[in-house]
Order: sequence, then C-alpha cells, then structure tokens
Amino acid sequence: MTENEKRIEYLILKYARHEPLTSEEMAILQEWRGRSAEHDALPDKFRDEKWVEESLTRLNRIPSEQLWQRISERVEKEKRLITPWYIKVAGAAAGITLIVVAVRAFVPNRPARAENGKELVASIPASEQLFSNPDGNSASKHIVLSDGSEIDLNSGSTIKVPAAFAAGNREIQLDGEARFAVVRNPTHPFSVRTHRGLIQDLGTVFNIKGYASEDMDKVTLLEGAVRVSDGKNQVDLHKRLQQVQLTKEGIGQLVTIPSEEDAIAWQKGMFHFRDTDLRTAMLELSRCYGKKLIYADDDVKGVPLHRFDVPREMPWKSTLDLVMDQEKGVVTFIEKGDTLYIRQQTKDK
Amino acid sequence: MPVDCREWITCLQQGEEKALEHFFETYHRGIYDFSLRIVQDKDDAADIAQECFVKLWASRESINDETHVRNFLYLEARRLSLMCLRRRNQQLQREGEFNYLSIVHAEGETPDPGMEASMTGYGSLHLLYTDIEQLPPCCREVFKLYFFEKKTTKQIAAQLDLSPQTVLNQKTRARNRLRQLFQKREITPLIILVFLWLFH
Repeated sequence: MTENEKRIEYLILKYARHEPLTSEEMAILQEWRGRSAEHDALPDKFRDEKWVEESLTRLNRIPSEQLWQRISERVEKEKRLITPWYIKVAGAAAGITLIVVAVRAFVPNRPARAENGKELVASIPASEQLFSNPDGNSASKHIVLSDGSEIDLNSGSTIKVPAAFAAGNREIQLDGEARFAVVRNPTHPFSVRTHRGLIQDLGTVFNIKGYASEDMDKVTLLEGAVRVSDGKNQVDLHKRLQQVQLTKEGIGQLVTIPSEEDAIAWQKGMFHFRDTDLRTAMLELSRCYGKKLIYADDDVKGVPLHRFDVPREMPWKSTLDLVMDQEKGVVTFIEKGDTLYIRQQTKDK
Repeated sequence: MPVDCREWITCLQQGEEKALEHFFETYHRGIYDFSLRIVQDKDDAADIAQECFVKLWASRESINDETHVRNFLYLEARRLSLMCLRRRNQQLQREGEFNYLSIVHAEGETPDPGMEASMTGYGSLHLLYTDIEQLPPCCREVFKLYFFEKKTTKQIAAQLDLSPQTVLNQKTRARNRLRQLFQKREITPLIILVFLWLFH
C-alpha cells in the first residue's frame, strides 16, 4: 500500500477524534475527500460513535478462525500439486476453481435478509413539518414523532406532520411510500391521508404505498388493524398481510399478499419483485437511483420481471445489469446520462 | 518476522503461507462484510471471502504491492458477489447457457470511487479493531464482553469466573491501559472516545 493510502486511514481516525491536523494532513485529507461523495462522507461516519460501535460489533461476529481454516486447507492442497503444471495453467486454473465453487456454493433460493440502512431523524414538531426522502437516496429515512410513533420513508416520499400533532391532531399527509408503526391513542386516532384516500389506524403497524406517479395506492397491514376509506366507502384490514388498493375509482379488492417482503422489502434495504410489471419495478428503481425513464411504447411497460431480490445500496450499473440480464431478448435498455430509454426488443435480433 | 509492507509481498510471492495469513488478518473482515452487504447471506459471504484469498494465493506471483493486494481482493469479492446475486435471481435454470468464464477478472481493472471509499473505511475500522486485540489478555476479554456482547458486570463475572469487583477493576485497568497506549502513539484512535462513552 502506498504510504499515503495507509496514512488516510489514520487521518480519518484523527479527524474523527477531533484532533487538530497539520496543514499537510489537512491537505491530504481534503484531496482524498474531494474524490467522490462517498469519500467525502466517510470521515464523518467515524465521528458517529453508534456507527463505529455497530460496525466493529458486526466485524467481530465474523467466524475468522473457521474461515482461515478452510483457506489454509485449500492452499495446502494446491501446494501438493506439481509446480510446473500449476504455473503453466495459472489462467485456466482460476477459471476451473470458479466453476467448482460456483456450482457448490451459490445455491439459489436462500432467503435474503437485509440489514437496515436507516438514517435516524428524531423530531418534535412545533409547527407543521415536512419530512422528505428524496429520489436518488437508496436508504430509507427513519422518523420518530413526538408521540413515539415511528415512520420509515421510502425514496421519493414526503410526509407532512401538522402543527398541533402533539396536542391531538394526528393526521399525517403522505406523498410516496412509508411504513408506519403507530402508538395507539383511542382519543386521538392516528390517520394518514394520501392522494386517493384516508387510512385510519385502529392498531399498530402498516405500510402505505401512495405515489402520485403510480396508478393506485396500496395499503398493507402488518400488525393490528386499519380502516381505509375513499370518502364514500370504507374497508377494515384486521389480518396481517391483508392489502387493499385505492384507485381514483375508489377502494379495490381486499387481498392477502404472500409475504411481508412484497410490501416492505424497501424498508429492509432490498428491492423485491415477484412477477412485477416492468413499469412498477422501474419506477421503484428510478426513485431509488434518481433516474428518468422514457418508454418507446406502452406494451413494454407490462413485461413482467419474474424474480428480483437485490440490495438497494448496490450501485446503479450493477442493478441495471441484473435487470437487463433477466429481460435479455425481450427488453432493450439504453442509458444516456441520467435518462434510461426502454423499449421492446425487436424479434428479428 | 518482517514488519515492513514490502517484505510481506516478497514472502507472498515466494509461497510463504504466513504471508497469506498476514493479508487474511488485515483484509478478511472488510472483504466478508463487503460481500455480505451485497449477497445478504452469511454462508455465501464466507464462501466468497474464502475464494478471494485462495485466488490471491493462486495469483501470488503477479502481485506487485499491497495496493495491488487490496484492490485484487475487493474487485474479486465484488465480482463473485454479483455473480452470486445474478445466479440467485435467474428465473430459469439456464445452467448450460450461463458462461461463468465470460465474467473474467479483467487485468488492470481498478476500483470505482465508491469501492475505494469503502476499502479505506474498512481499513480504518481494522485499525480500531486491532487496538482492541492488542489490549493485554486480562482486560481484553472483559472489554470484548462488555463492548461487543453488551454483557453486564455480573454476567461478565459469571462467564469469566471472576468476582464482580475484579471485573470492575479490570475495566478500569483496560481504560487506563488504552489511555496510556494511545498517548504514546502519534494519534489517538477513536476507540478511546467510544470506550469512555461506554464506560460511564
């Protein structure tokens, strides 16, 4: 490692400790920070004691001895091979090893469990307050209200909390998607207003997907009970994983979703699609990465994405690669700057 | 035992397993965590981490310096993690069509900015982790049980078969030792802040 690279690691810790840096150290650190947004954000992460503690704890849980044992065994095996053969086929050997490992190790159908990438924002609203999680932010935003209720905001979402929230008016306005964990108070019921309806808490935890850009709102119950109304009719959800849609025509059918991932994978830091139409899936991606979408035709919007479980913090290019992989031969994606052009692939390709 | 960076590289090139162990100790936590964040599965992350170091060993003769080691490991970890995800997300079992060899580890491939920042982050975390490991044995166990496993004085006393007073004494000794250790060095790692904040 070059001297400077090792030095940066120390300087970051020195910075985190609020120790004064010499002008030379300052210059080195500033140059390093200027390389990208991720570079710039790193030193401040180390000032967050909670983050440091969590990170070290996570690293401590790694089964190091076991891991080394396995590596050592394989290294021993390779040492026993005839040296000339090994050197001659060094390139191919890498490929062969890969196939063996891939077939053995990468068994599909492992359930994905996500780690939360949440920002904690505590607040005590004195006047009407707006909380936003902008497009292009892959992590969900966590908000704690003065009554103890907790809200997780997905990308491209905003909530409005009224001024008199503490006093009793617990009606939140939502534009986007959020997961609510509500503290019950029968005298001052908690409710959420979306573009298309009103959701009243009768219990505790539910997810609402209410983006203006989509065709409908979706309310999913996770725990407790909620009442959903469109101004004319109302429906009560009282069983976990029940979901109802709200369109401009009103309340739709009551369904039960197969798993909670279908509604709140985003809050766990994952994209989760099962036979989802391309339009819905790409909208979710565009909000997370801050990309514009332009479709050449409407038919392609209905193409299904059968199975997709990918962490939201993956870089855009990698995620797009995975989508393109699944829709190979069916959909063509062309990127120009921050815009993605999507069209059906012509049959005679 | 060679202390200088350059020496470890030479040892690695010459096929000294001790050198691989040294690089394992330095980088495996970062590599594992990096993979885990992509593949979201501990067994897969372990397999990937294992593969990275085995590959490093296989390619040892072409490794020039420690920067090369670090980049090699992380690029390989990313490649294998993405492959794992791709594999998992395939709707159809197109095994015959799936050409593993087509995803070649490109020579001269360099980490993108996001990865570079991550690698440095893991490097700094490793420095902190090493500080804990370098505490004298008595204090280290107590500290680790307190810091990592969040155990109370009572629980620690029971687990290590010590009296609660001894545990408290060792906490104090650990604190002082860390203070001393850090004053000797050019800079004081963040661990003391975290440490003091916890030991109120």
